[in-house]
Amino acid sequence: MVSALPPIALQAGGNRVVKGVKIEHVCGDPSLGSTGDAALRRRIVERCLDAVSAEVTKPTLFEIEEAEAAAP
Amino acid sequence: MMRLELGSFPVESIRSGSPGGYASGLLTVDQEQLRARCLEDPRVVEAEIDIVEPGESTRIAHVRDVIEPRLKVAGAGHAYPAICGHPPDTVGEGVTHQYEGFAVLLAAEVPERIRRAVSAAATSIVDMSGPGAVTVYSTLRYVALTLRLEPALDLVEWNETLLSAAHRVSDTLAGYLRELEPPRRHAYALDPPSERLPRVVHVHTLNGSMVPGIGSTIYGYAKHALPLLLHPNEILDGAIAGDAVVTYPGKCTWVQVNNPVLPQLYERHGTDLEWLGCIVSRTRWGAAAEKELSAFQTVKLARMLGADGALVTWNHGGNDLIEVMLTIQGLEQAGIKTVFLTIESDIKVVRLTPELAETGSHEPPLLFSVPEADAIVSTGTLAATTSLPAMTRVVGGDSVAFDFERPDVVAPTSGPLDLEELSGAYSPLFGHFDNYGIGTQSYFDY
Repeated sequence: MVSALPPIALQAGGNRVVKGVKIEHVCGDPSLGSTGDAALRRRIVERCLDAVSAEVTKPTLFEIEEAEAAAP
Repeated sequence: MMRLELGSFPVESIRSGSPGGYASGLLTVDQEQLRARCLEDPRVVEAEIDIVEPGESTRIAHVRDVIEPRLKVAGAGHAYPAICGHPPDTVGEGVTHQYEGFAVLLAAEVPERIRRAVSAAATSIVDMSGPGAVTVYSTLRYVALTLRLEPALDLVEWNETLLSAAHRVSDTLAGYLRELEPPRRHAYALDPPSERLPRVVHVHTLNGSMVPGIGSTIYGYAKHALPLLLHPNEILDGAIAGDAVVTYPGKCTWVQVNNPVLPQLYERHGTDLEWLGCIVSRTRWGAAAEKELSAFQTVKLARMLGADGALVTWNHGGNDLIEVMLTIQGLEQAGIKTVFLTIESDIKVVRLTPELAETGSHEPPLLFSVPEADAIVSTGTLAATTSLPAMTRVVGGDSVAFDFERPDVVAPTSGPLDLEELSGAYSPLFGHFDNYGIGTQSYFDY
């Protein structure tokens, strides 16, 4: 799952938690403009694909790298 | 240092009459004068003024805020500073007069447009007698204002117009106390104790609205901001105030100045602890990193103050608990012994039965927790009966729709009301979340 609040998602037992942006807009960031927002959304989806294909043994957090998030 | 004397005027009965005034427990209110004060603002289209007292068969609907009239008679500034046209001077010193057991209650039905903008702008009720009269709000005497505003106002203007009218009325009633000798006085100051006592800070976390332009305010400031150190006397003078949109009970103006944590910590100050003041930290930040930053800065302030212990309170529910818990974790890790005062399970709590009393529902009692939160005082969870009986008198509006997801489910305010059937995620009883442990509703099964 993508969550703006990973601590709750992990405590609730979510196996694969991808860290989202914030509560108001979990899967993107409108302040980046449409191109930047689209790129970030793609990164988040790609991270989700990484996560869903990863072996996990306990609730695990997958973060979007800062550099990735800021890239246009 | 800051010294505040509160002069208290208990209200034992209210009657209508002119001129308005207070004498020996009797409050006389000039309803026409108060109505005129509401209508000074042309955006207020209609204003009804009602007197409501405990024990009556009365149900008040569409409660938006409750305000205790307070008046500064000596010292800088204005009670409830920096809102509704009041100056922003720092308050908390001098002499303030207050009514006791009496408040201005603001009622206004939420227009559909506002409800669409803020889904949590739900309908709240106060029953003045019967099985629903379990909160502190059923024990106060009221001048109740039912206001209808110009239809086109946007959310921010709607909120400001309602609050300003209520504060004009509150200020008028507070003005009755200007020249009077208070029957009771109590002085509050944080003088340094003569011996070294454990130093305790009150970490007073306070929800900030995720909807811009509304929410509870600190000196009129509603936006999320990093933590601020307040002297408790500033809070007693109204530095923290509620809004008129989301009637979450921990946000109402009355509870800020009547927060029982403040007098109880004052009672202990200089006896068995040294109270360092209140760190007011906003909660309900949108991003996890913001929640962390706010918690970390709160912990830093507590360390800089030299706190040995902390009392953490919160006035809300939901995801605000993340930054509250991160704060507790940081305080404990910094060697500051921390106690948390909290409600349990804040949603889906409509009907209390003994089986549900432990958590209020099938949910865990706290949405999120950390292992360091090992000293928790619970104020429990809501206790309302399954249904509320019919009432003979209705104030605030003739119909209610409690569940914002089912706006077509409308019931007559006069009842009877089956709360389980009519309610959504939250109980419609105003004051149902008892964040500071004031009411009797919390102790059903304890």
